Amino acid sequence: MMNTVRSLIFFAALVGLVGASGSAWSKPMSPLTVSINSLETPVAGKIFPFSVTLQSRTDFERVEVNLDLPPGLALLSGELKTLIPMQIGKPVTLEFSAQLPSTLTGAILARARVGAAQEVMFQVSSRYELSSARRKAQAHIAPTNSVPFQRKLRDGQPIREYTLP
Amino acid sequence: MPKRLPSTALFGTNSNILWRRCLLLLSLAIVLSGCWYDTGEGSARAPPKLEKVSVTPVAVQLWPVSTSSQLSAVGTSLQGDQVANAPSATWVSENTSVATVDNKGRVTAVATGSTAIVVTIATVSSRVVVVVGPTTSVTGTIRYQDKMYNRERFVDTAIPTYKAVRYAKVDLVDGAGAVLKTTQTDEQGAYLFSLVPFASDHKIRVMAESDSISGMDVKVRDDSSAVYAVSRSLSIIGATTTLTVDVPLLNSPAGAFNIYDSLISASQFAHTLSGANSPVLSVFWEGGVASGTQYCTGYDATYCVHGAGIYVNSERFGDTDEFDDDVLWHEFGHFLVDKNSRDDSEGGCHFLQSTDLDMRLAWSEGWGDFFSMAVKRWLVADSRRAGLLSSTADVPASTYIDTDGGVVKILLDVANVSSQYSYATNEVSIAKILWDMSNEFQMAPLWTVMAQDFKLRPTTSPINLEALWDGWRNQFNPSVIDVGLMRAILRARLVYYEEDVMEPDDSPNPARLITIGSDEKHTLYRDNGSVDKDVVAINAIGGKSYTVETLDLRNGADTQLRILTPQQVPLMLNGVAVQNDDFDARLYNSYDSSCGEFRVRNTPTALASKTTFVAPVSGTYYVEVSTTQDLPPYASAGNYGSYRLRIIQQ
Repeated sequence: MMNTVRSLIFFAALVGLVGASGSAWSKPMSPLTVSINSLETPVAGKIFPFSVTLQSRTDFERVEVNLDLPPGLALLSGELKTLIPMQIGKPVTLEFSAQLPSTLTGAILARARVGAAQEVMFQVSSRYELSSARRKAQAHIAPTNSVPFQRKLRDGQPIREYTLP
Repeated sequence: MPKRLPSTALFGTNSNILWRRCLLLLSLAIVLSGCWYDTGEGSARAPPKLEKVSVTPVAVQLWPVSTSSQLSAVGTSLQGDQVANAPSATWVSENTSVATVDNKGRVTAVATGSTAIVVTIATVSSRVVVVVGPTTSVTGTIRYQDKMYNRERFVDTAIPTYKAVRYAKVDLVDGAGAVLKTTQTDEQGAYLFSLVPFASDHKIRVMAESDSISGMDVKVRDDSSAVYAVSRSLSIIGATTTLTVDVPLLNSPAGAFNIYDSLISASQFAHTLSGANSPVLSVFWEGGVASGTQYCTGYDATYCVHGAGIYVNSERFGDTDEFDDDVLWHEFGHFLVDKNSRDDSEGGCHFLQSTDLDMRLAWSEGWGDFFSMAVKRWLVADSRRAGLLSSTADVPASTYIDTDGGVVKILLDVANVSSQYSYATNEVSIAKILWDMSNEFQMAPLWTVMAQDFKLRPTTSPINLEALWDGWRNQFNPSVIDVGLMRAILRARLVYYEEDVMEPDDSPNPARLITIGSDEKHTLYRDNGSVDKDVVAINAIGGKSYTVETLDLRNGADTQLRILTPQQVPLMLNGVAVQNDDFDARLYNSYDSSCGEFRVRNTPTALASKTTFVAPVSGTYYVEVSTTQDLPPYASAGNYGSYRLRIIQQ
């Protein structure tokens, strides 16, 4: 049994070694993530339940969660500002419900912030577009591709040329 | 990290092999060169073959009408050797309504416009552009719109902030798309083309690419490896034509020019360190590509599809970095070390708060964090350069900022970090140490160690904070560089490269008794450079069980322990020595769900040692703790470090 466990550990270590992205030296990552989720599709004038889920890869005594709502949306349950402790690997979900306006415009914005701006501060946000068309558009952001340009050769090397007015 | 081929692999490891290979190459060269000789004559070289027509001058401008100019042409080989007895050249104008040419190569202006003269010798041709018209100079400035940021977000300024596009290649392009002239901008983004003919359909094109003659070699490319460029049309009339090219945020690749400009600043700063020009740096930036921002040493199918370079792509959740100068400088820091020093980090994801990073990773990323601050400090130090900063005045140079969606996502100010950010296994701690060191001693000695000692360090000794300490001591006379001050800087981050108060305790000494149940804090470090051993004595009772363990391993400590008998020989029980190296080494490489990958972790317990034994007889036994490097190939620990020793009687 012990040998089997050791073999598994060795295999896991090997997978870790092979699977690691060894050639890339990347920037620091944020320990916090936040997302807005809902099982329902927003319908104008109806009640819309949604949740904000936070995850952290380190312990924080106090994470400040703020909700920014678009004009016309009335919060029925939940707090616009919440202070919560976070623990490694233990996601926290905050439940909300809101009365949607007669026209679905704007977005719900959830922001989570920890730390002091004099030392180390982390701040993450998640945006939920009320309009389904904008939600789809948001998923395909590629700003530099939306502007016309021409591909050319310059001294045999490819260039991507934008023409200014 | 793709492995770099050692230089010795090509040429062998000693002069004997090198000499033999030189002889082989020489022999090969002689055999090959025989093909070029006429063996009938013995030594005469074959005559050059006509392969090219060289024309002087290479371009002609004529004004006013009826002015003429003489062209001359010779047939040559590809190497430029003139061909004797070549046939006479024939001359043809492509547009005789603009310029004519006679059979001797004299060109005469007919009317305003441009054409080309085609010169042919035998079957080989060449083409010379002829422009007929008055000339002027074209001058102007090239700028891009930047985003300024404070401690909270990008700030909306009433007046857009435009900055010079410095040392960039600029083309003057005619209506047919041909490049007539090329120049580069200066430190203020200014360019000048002189002797330009009047025209109404030309344009200025600026590349997000420096001219290597400036000493900086930066190219910003898209995901297909095409260099970003913008162009603007102009009419060239009058004594001087002025054209300012402003690259705005909207509907243009201003991000490419901010990446370019930030890395030009970094190149200039790097030049002050090394005195050398930067090697070619390719940067890849593409909207909608979510592979993150990183520096790649070579090809990787996921992150580095174009090979080595800096990749400035978004994360899965949309964070882009084209206006995050600090992030760009962080990655340039990696580039600089890769080309001029040594970095043993395996890379991978990392977090500022992690105090259990692999020491190589902590060093590498701490250097990157620090480098962005060092560039900023250098820019701030000279009022002529301060305008190049994108941060507002309330952001000190000691700050690293990464924005996401217009607001600050990560802010780190090393001038004020708490002791939470400590140890040689935390990247903020490393950045803080480097910041304080460079404030005390300037950048030059720090870079000297990195550029010289790191490269000479044996490959078995990884690059981490210890490498800096070792190099510092090797490089500098302690009386010149204050070792005490260095130690104070390290101590503030709970790093102890100094002997503990129990030294010397390398051998069994009955007087060095430890109380059962208590624990002692040790450092694994000897000033004389020898491998440290810490030996303590315990009075054990025969038949009683004792557990001995090392705890709270910090700064890369990797302990091994063994028990010695009262006779000071290894204690053997059932024929096996009572000793232990890594009690639970499987913790060293564990899956990190935040990263989605396995990570080597230098936790306080992963490389700790622990053993339990029953004393055969009553007496004074000894516990010997020493440092070890007996790790699996993927792992890395330090030669030094600190730990606590605890002995418990059951």
